[in-house]
Amino acid sequence: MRSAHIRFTFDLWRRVVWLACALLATVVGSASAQPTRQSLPVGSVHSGVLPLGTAQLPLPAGQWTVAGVGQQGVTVPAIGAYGTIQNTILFQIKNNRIVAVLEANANSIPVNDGWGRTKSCAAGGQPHLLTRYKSGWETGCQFVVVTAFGSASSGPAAWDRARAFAEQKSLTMADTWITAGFRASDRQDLIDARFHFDPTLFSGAPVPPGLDWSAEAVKADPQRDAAMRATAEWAKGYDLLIERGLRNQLGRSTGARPVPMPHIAAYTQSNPTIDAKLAELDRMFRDGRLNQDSYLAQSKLVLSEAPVVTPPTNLLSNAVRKNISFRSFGTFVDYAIAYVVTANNAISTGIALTINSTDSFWFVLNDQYWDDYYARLNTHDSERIIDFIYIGGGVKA
Amino acid sequence: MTRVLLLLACLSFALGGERAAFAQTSDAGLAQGSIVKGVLTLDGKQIALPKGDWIVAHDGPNGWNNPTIGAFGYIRTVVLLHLQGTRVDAMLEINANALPTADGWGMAGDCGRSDLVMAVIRYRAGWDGSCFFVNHTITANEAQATWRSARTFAAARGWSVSSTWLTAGFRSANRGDVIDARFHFAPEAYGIPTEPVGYWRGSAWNASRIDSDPARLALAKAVSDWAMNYSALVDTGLKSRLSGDLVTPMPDLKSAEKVESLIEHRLAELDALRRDGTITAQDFDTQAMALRENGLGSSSTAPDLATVTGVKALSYRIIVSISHLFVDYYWTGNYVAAGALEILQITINSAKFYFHELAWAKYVGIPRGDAARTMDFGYMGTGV
Repeated sequence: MRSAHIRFTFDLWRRVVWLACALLATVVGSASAQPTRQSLPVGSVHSGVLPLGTAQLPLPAGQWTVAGVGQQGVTVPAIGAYGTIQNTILFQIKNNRIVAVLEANANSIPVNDGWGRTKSCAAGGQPHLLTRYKSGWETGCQFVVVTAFGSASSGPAAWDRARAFAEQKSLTMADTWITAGFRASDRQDLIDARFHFDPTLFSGAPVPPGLDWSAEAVKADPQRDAAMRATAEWAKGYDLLIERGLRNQLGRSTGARPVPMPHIAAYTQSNPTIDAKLAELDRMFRDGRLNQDSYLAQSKLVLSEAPVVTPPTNLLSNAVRKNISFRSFGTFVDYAIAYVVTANNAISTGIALTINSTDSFWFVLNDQYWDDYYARLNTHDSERIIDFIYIGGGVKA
Repeated sequence: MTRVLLLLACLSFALGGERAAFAQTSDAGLAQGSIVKGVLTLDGKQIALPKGDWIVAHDGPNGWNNPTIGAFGYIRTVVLLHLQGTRVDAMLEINANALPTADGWGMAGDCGRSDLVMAVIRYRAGWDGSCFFVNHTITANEAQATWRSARTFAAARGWSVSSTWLTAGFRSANRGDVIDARFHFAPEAYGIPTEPVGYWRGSAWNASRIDSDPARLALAKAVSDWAMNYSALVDTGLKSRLSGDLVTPMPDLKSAEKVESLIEHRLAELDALRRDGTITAQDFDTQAMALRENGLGSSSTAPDLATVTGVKALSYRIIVSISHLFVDYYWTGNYVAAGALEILQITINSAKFYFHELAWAKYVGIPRGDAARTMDFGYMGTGV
């Protein structure tokens, strides 16, 4: 009997060991594999970096709780095989109040020919709008707007789950938010992240309901105007981190500490990415991998290297301005050619002026065809709007 | 005793699993002589290493510099050797940026050549691109410091090194990063005798001669087939998405083992999404069909500035020349004079138009960021 008990105990122990082995092997195996889809359980708490679809998303300082997850679809066949759009809603909670909502969308499978833009990044009177780059297949842009949504507002499926989560935990939330939105995409992947901040964070006191959040009213209120400007400054530094996340490079040369929330962000001119990059250049110089000339030159370049797309302000199109430039000396050349052949001043002047008027017409047509139609057609560099369902329908306050 | 054995087995299994999933990360330098395998991480980017041990022969700055790129730190060159006995049967030359930039990288000049065994551009613009090529490389008269360092390292250990290599080169770039990886395979390792040729054009590997040499043609085909699938791994590694336990075969004339096709991988991912109910069967069918029909290709291949300017000048000249015939004859009333004017206008004004376009694009107009640009680093050997 005792022998049987010992054998049973031993068998059990052996099974436990082998089970542990199998679990350990599974853990080791899964740790080494690059996950393409991360499962984010509702209620799980994250800080620093959030795995999102095929990419990473930087989280501002603090604890972020997953409140809802869901999927969205894209009805543009040209996108190809993207799997699904993973929609994740996270809350930052303080004293049973939701002080920030993160609404993130990302593709689950990389595509080949890129993603389009979002309407939110088209000029439309946003208090803050900045486009880093844009083409038919990629976009880097950010905006700050005031968004109206509350616990009763509709939205994507993930938001419905997040509302249920808030209700279950008896969490309260504002009905107006200061939103900093980011869209970063390249040929393969996309991150659409919208951080909604409770205005109370900035004011330190409850914001009365029913307040007028129109642009004029906000400008007239120093406190709210300062909050918008602080969020805009925060966004200018934060988008470069989102770019890094799109390439799975967060945690490397992006600074060790998480970026603070906008209401306490310490920087207004520089940004954390630039600071971290300067530190990296310094390390390379001290390691002897970068000579002094390169070190000094690159340290200057890094301060202004983040691109910004500035919309054309000239009333004349590029083709027309180019034609004026071309004609300004081309007419003299045409006159000279005509004079060489005819040796007649009047005829040469007539030829030069006639060519000036007829060729200008052809010049502009030809230029616009190549630049605005053919070259863009060949590179898919045409407008393509890809938007998802957003919390509260993305309604501006 | 049994418990101890079980514990050892458990530890061995666990550690063994870790070794199988061997992946190295290195932002600092790799020590000469150290061994890497599986997936190598360099400054946030990954390189899939084909099966076997790869010995670090060199790791250091390339010396390349281009201030228009911005703050990229430096171009890091790593040379890895793969041994078959005492012969170096493969060599991997990697060039990658140390810090991410903001406005991207250009394409490798070799990808645009038409005199190679193979050169494929998957997509390209002014800031990003993906391409690969198969070429032969002569290292007999090599003066590059990188190669001298690697050769000295191999010679000190008594390893034999070929002077002619069959090269599969890959370039993958986005707005932030670039990977330029060139695998040099020793033909001797595939049973092809050493070639006593010291210059590129004289080699039997030249694309114009290779068709008449079945053995070389077979190896070139095997390397080309291998490169097709491997190029997708370079793109994936650029964004650090390679699986740590990835097993990549070497090009082989006999083995049917292939590099995993990225299309098959994505189809499997789609299927997993369908099976767990994330996407519907209809979504799966639509997306799988798109993937099968379009593959990994992209038609976004932006022409370079000179090409756009050239075709623009040509089309403009055709239109205005017809117009000028009437204008010139109207004012001169003489066919000979009109003809002479036409010839002078075509020759002088075409050049005027072309250079004005280039100057405008460079100094005045809105910069065309999508025009392809070529960016080459210092490489080992002679590839032309």
